[in-house]
Amino acid sequence: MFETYIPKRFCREFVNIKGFSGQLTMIMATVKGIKPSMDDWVSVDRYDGYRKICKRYGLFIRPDTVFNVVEDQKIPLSVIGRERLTTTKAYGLPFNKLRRNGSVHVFISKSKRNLERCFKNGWYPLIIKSRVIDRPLIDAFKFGYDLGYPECCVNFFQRYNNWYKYSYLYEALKNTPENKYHYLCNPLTKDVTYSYIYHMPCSYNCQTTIESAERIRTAIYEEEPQFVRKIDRHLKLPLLIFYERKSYAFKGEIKNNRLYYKDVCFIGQMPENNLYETDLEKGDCVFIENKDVIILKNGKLKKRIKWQRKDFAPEIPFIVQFN
Amino acid sequence: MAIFEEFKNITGLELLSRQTNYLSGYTERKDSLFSRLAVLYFSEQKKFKKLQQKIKVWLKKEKTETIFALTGYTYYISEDYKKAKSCFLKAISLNPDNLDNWIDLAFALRHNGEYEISNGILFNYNYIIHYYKYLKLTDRNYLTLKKLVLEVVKRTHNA
Repeated sequence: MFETYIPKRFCREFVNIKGFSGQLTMIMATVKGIKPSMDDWVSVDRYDGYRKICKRYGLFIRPDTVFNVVEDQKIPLSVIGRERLTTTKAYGLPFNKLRRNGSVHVFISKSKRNLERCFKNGWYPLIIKSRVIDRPLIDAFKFGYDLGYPECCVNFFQRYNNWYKYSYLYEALKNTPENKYHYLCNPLTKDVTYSYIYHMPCSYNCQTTIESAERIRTAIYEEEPQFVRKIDRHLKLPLLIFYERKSYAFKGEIKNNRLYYKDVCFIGQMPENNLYETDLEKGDCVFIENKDVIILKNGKLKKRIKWQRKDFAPEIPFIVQFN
Repeated sequence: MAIFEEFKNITGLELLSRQTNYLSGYTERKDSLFSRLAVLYFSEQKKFKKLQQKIKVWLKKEKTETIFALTGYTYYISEDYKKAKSCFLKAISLNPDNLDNWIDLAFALRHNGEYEISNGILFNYNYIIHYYKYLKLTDRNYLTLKKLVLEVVKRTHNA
């Protein structure tokens, strides 16, 4: 599950230079001109090569800052605002081709105008000296439009992107009619290659998201039909979600609110959040009971993961399968 | 009616006197006004427009750091980055110790296409604040400020 995908031809160079297929569908959508612009990260020493590939595909590129990613534990407690770094945690340096380490944050687009807008709104929070430096919130809101996200989803984001208060994915679930979980609205696999969207939809049945994902799906199908078949299969895997950064995909099926499975894979991106893969591997069935996660093997209890209240990044576990 | 009260009547939000976010302090930002105005802009556009009109009157009455920052925010949100820059420069002139004013200015400059100066400030804010005060610059010395930023960048290789 979720292995790196190497295209036969279309956009293959991007995977080769990055060394993995992260955001491949978004790159393809940008090359096709469906997505107005996007941001990506590339090793500084490979920037020149990446730039040449962009040129070959008719994309404009603009580099921004260099990220030196650090593990959470290595960030001194004295760094002001460190708790707000929810995903990528990095020290920032100005871009310079002579640098040896780090990844440069780049923006790419078919249109110079879209590229400029995306670049200006696209600063990503970074540690500079002893502080986290973040862009004004208004830029973050407008950045969603620059990336081509649907307006309803940007509005939903403005309302519920509060890590102290909401579990964003659970709010989207509440906003979805029961059992109407459309696979084109699955955002959980976006960081592991296999997704047609890179935003958090306002609902798992958001019509604008479905239309936009369908456009991307059709365009990719013209170039790499076998990739589309793989993406579709991954998008329909049953999932156990704790919150945005802690989720698992399974080879299995859901019956009577219980997920019976043969294989499990952590897809939460941050390895330090992968607390339960070993427990899940020992089981063959998982379900939710009063917010607790119950793992069974041959019908016998293997583990009960007790629900815990959290003041930051609250977790409300749920099981879902997109169809 | 006092500006603070009027502000509350129009927006439903609290306006507090601007506090200084010193380099030696421990907060990322001292107030959340900029963020709250961003939410207001998307959720209640009428209120935001009314605020924009009213601010012009307030600015004639009161030339404080609080009002300049507030005005800068409304220009920034409505994408008039040149005017936002001018307001943040005035706020800096009144209180160069306030890091929030510098960060606001840096992002206005990024939107204004002055990328080198913007990055120069973001990556060297401590030196810039120190030398701005040392040289006793004001909002009328923008060209000198630019030279200062570029000089700091050259010496620190940080931009």
